[in-house]
Amino acid sequence: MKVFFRIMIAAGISCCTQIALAQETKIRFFGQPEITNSTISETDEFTGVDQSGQYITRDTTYSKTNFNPGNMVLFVTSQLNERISVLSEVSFKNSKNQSTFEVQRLMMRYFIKDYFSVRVGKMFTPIGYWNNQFTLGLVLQPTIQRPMAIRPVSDGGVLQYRDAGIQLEGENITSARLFYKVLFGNGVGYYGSNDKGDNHVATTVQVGAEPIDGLKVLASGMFDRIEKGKSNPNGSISALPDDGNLQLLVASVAYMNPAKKFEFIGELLSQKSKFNTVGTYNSHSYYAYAGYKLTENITPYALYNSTQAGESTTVGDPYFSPIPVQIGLTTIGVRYKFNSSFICKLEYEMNNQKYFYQDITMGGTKLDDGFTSTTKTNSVRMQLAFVF
Amino acid sequence: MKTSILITALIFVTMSSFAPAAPEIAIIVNKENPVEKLTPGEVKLYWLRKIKKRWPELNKNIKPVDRKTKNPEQDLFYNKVLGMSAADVETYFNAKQYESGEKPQDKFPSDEAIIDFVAEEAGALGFISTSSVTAEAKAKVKIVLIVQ
Repeated sequence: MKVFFRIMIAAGISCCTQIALAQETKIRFFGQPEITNSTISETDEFTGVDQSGQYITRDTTYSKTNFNPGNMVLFVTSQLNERISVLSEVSFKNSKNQSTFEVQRLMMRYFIKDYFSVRVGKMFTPIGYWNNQFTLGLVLQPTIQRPMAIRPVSDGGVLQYRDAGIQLEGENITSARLFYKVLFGNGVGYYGSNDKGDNHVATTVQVGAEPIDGLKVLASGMFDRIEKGKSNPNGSISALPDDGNLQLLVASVAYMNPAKKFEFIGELLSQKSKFNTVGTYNSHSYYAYAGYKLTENITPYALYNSTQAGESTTVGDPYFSPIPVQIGLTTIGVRYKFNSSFICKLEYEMNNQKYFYQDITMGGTKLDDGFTSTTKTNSVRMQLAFVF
Repeated sequence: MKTSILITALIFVTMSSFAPAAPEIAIIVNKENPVEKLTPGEVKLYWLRKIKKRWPELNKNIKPVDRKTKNPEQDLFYNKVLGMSAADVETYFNAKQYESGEKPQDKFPSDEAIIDFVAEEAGALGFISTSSVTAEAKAKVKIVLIVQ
C-alpha cells in the first residue's frame, strides 16, 4: 500500500511538472530580511485626557534594534496559452508570534490586443507609479521601504494597494506609447471575501505615456465612497461619522531606465473626503526619489516625503486623521547590486512627525490649551533583498 | 634595419591572423515570420517587447530568446543592440514579470538549441553567432540582421 502511494505521488509530481513545463510556469521566491536600529525622541507625546479634561503628555527618548525576517513571497506566473496568463502572489509574514498568510494577488489576464487586455481577480490598484511596479518584490524596489505617502494600511499608511475586481488595460498606443488601466473593484475596506452587502463598485483610472524609454508620466484617480459607521483604512477611526465620497488623485513622473545612470520618481497625491453633511476635507502628500548609478553595482539615493493629513495645523481630516498631522521623512541610502537576484540596501532615515492637538473645549469653556506632539525618529536600516 | 622592420611587420601580421575574430551575431526569426529586415533599434524594441507584444502580421506573441550563460555573442547583443548590461536585462524582465505576469525571455545553452527553438516557435526572435549560420540553419530560420 505504502509503495502504491509512493508511486502515485511520484506520478502526480511528474504529471504536474509536465503540465507546468507545457504551460511555461515560472515560480519565484522573494525574501527581504532586515535589521533596523532606531533612536526615538518623543516630545509631548499624548497619552490621554485626565478627569478634569486636561491633556496628559510625556517626553521620552529610547533606542531599539530589530532583526526582521520580512515577508517571504511566493510568486508564480504561467502562460496558459498565447493569450491567457495567470499570476499568483502569496506572502508569509511572522510577527509577534503570529504567522500571517495572505493572498496578495491572484489574477488572470486575457490579452486581446496591445491596446486592450482584461485582468480579472485580485490585483494591485492602478494608483500611481510605485504601487504597480514594486510592492512586495523588494529586490526591484529602489529603497527599503515605500515612501510614507503611498504606504499601505498594513505598514501604517492609508492606501489600499490592492483590490479584487476587473481591470481593462492597454499599452503601446501610438508612438507616444500611451497606456491606460481602468479597475472596477470592491473599494476601500473590502478584500473580495463576499463581505459587501450592496452593488457599489469603486473605480480607479490611470492614464499615461512613455514618450522616451523609461520616462513615464501618468495620472491616476480612485473614486470610492465613505460609509457611515465603518472604520477608516488605517483603523484610526472605528466608526466614520457620515456617508460621503472619497477621491484620491495622483500625478506621477518616473524616469527608471536600467540603461541610464540617473533615476527619478516623483508623485503628488491629493485626497478629498467629501462627507454628505460633515463637510469636505483635504489631505496632501508628495515624495521625490532620486538615485545615481555610480558603477554597475553601486547606486546612492535619496528620498524625501512630505505628508499632511488635514488642510492645516488646525483642521484635520475625519476620514484619514481627525488630528492634523505633518510628516517629513528624509532617507539617504546606498544600494549594492551583487546581481539582478541579490541586492543589499543600507539607509539612514530621519522621520519627523507632528500631531497638532487642538484646544479642549466643553460648552464654550476651554478646558486645556492645544499642543504639538513631536516624534523624531532616526533609523539605520539594512535590507538584503533576493529572488530565486 | 629594414630587415628587422620587415620581420616585425611579418610577425605582427601573422599574430593578427591568429587572433580570435571579433564576434558577429545574426538576429534570427522563424521562417513563417513575414519580417524580412530589422534595424538594431527595432530588434531592441521587439526583443524587449516594448512597442509590441505580438508580431503585427504574424499575430503571434513575440518570444525573445537568449543564451543561458554569458558568452561573447550575448555580450555583443546586450551591448550593441540593447545597450544594457546582463544584470539590467535580468532586472528588466523580472520587473515586467512582477508587474503583469509577463513571461521572461527563453534561455538556451547553445546556438543549435536556439535555432531549433526559433524554427519551432513562430514568434521567436533570437541571436546566434554567425559561425553557426550553416546551410542547415538557413533552411530552418530567417536572418533579419547581422550585428558586428
